[in-house]
Amino acid sequence: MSAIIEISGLTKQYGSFTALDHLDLTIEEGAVFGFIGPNGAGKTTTMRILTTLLKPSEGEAKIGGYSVMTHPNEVRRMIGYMPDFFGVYDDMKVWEYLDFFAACYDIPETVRKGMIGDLLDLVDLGSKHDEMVESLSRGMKQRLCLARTLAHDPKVLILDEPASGLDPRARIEMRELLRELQNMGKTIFFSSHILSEVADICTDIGIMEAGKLVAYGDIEQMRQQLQVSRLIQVRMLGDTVPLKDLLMTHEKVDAITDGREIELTPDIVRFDFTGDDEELSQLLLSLIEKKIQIISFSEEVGDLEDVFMQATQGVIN
Amino acid sequence: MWNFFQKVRSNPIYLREQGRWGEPNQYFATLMRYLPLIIIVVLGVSIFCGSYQLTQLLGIGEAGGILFLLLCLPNIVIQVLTWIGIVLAPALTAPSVVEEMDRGSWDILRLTPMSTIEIIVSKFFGSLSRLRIWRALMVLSVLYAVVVGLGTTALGSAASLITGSASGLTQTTGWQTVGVAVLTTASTILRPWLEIGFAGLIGLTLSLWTNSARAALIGSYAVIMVYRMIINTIVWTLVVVLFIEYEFEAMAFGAGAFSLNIVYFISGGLLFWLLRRRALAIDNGELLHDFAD
Ligand SMILES: Nc1ncnc2c1ncn2[C@@H]1O[C@H](COP(=O)(O)OP(=O)(O)OP(=O)(O)O)[C@@H](O)[C@H]1O
Ligand SMILES: [Mg+2]
Repeated sequence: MSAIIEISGLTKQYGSFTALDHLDLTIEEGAVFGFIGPNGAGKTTTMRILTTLLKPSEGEAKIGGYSVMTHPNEVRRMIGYMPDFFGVYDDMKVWEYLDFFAACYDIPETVRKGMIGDLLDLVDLGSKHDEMVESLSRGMKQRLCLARTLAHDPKVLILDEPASGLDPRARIEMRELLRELQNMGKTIFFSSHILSEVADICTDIGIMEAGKLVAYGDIEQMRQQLQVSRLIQVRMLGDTVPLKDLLMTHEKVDAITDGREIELTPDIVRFDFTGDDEELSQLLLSLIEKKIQIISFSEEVGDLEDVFMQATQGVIN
Repeated sequence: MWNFFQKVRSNPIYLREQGRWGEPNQYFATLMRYLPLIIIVVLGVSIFCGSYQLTQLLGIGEAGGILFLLLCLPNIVIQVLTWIGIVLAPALTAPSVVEEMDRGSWDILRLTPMSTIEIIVSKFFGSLSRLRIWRALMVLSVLYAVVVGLGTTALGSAASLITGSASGLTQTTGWQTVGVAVLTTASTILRPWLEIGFAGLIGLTLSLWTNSARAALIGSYAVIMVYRMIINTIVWTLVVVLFIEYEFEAMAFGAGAFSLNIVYFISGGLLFWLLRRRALAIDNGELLHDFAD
C-alpha cells in the first residue's frame, strides 16, 4: 500500500477568515476515508483544493504523486468528483447525461454505448436508461451523478456528502455502492456530517472542526484518542444480578444500568466500557464461562455520536 | 484557424449548446416561441426607418421612397436578420456559463480535460450556431455588398462628371470613388457579423461576471443598447466633423460605416481578452467560488 493522497500544511484563507488551518493528512491507496465534520468545518474547501478547483493559500496537496498546484491536468485525470449539490442536467435523458460527459473525456462514441449500460447497471439505474433526468428521485440523481464520476475510470473518488438528503433506504443503497467501488479498487474520499453513518464502511476517519483535523484513524484508534467509552448492551435469560455483580468487578466497566431504569425491558443491562476490542471479547468470554445466559451482547451505535460530539465540542464552545 | 474551428465544432460542449443532448437553454427556447412577433416588429421598424431615411437623404417624395425601398429589399432583410441576431444572441450566450454555475455542473465541466477558455469558446460558437440566420446572412450580405459597391462607383463617377448633383457628392475624384466603394462593400459584408457577434460576446462576458442567468440576460440587453447608442453617436459625429469640415463628403458615408466596424472589432477583441483573463483565473483556482453558493 502506498499513499495516494498526501496533504501537508494545507491552508485556505477567505480574506482574514481561515477556513482551513495547516491540515496534514495522508490516505493510502484503496482506503475508504470518511471526512466528518459539522457545517463550516472546511470539508468542501479541502475537497475543492484536492480537485484543483480552488487554490490553497499555503501548503501542498498531492494526488498520486502529482501536485494539485503544478500538475492539475494529471490530477484531474485521476479523480472523479461529486460536488455537494450534484449538478445534473434536467433537460437530458439519463443515458444522454452520461454520454455527454463521457464525450467530454474524449471517450469514443463506439465505446460509450456499452460503457453507459455498464455504469447504469452498476448504480442500479439500468431500467431508467431512457427516462428524463428530471423525473428521477433525489437518490437516483445522486447515483447517476456517481456513475458520471466513474466515466473516465478514475482511481480516486472525491465525493462531497454523497448521502446527504437521502432516506434510510437510499442511504443504505449508497453505502452498498461505495463498498462495491472499494472492491473495484477505487480510493474513496468522502464527507459526511454523521459519523455513525460512515463508520462501518470506512477504513479511516478524519474529524474536522473549524479548519483543523481533531481526530484521525480507524474507529478503534479514534476511541482511544478521544478516550470515549463505548456503550454495551446485554440481554440475558434469568436474573440479572449475577451479571451485574460480575461486571462490577471489571475495572474497565462503568455506569452499570438496569434496563428498567432507562425504560427498557428488565432483562437488559447496559454499561460503559473503556477497553478495546480484545478486552471486550475477553469480558464476554469470561461471562459465558461463568454460565451467564446471554442472548445478545452488542455495542450501541448511537454511541458513535458521542465520539463526534466529544471530538468537536471543545472548539465550538 | 481552420483547424481550430474544426476542433471546436467537434467539441462536446459545442454540440451540447447546439442541442445534441437535451435542450440546454430555456431562455432561448422561450424567445424562439416569440420569434414571429420579433420578426414582425423588427421588419416594421426597419421598413419605417429605411424608407424615412431614404426619402430624407435623397430629398424625394413618398413614392420615390417606396421605390428605393424595393431596391433596398436585400438590405432590409439583412437588417432584420441582424436585429434578430442581436436580440437572440445574448439569450443564447448570457445563460450559458452562469446557468452551469447555478446548477453546480460548472465544477464538473472544469474537471474534464478541457481548459476553461476552450469551454467558453465552444459555448460561444455552439450556442450562436443555433441561430439559423448565418447562411442567409452570408448570401444576402455578399450580394448586397456587390450591389452597393457597384452602385457607389457608378454614382460617384456620375457625380464627378455632373457637378452639383442631387446626391451632393460634389468633390469626388477617381480614387475617392474607389475608396468609398471598397469601404462600403467591406462594411456591408462585415457589419451584421460583427454586430451579432458583439452582442453574443457581451452576453458571454456577463455570464462570467453575474450570478444569475436573468441578470446576465437583462444586463446584456442594457449594455448593448447603451453601447450602440454611444458608439453610433460618437462615430457619426466624428465623421461629420472630420469629413464634412475637410470637404471629403464623398468619403463620409463609407468611412462612417467602416469605422463602426473597426470599433466593434476592437471592443470585441477587448471583451475576448477580458474573458481569457477570467478563464485563466478560473483555471488557476483563483476565483474564490463559483457564484452558486
Ligand atoms: N467563497 C467563500 N468566501 C468566504 N468564506 C467562505 C467561502 N467558502 C467557504 N467559506 C467559509 O469557509 C468555511 C468552511 O466552508 P466549507 O464549505 O469548506 O465547510 P463544510 O465543512 O463543507 O461545511 P458544510 O457541512 O456546510 O458543507 C465556512 O465557514 C464558510 O463560511
Ligand atoms: Mg460542504
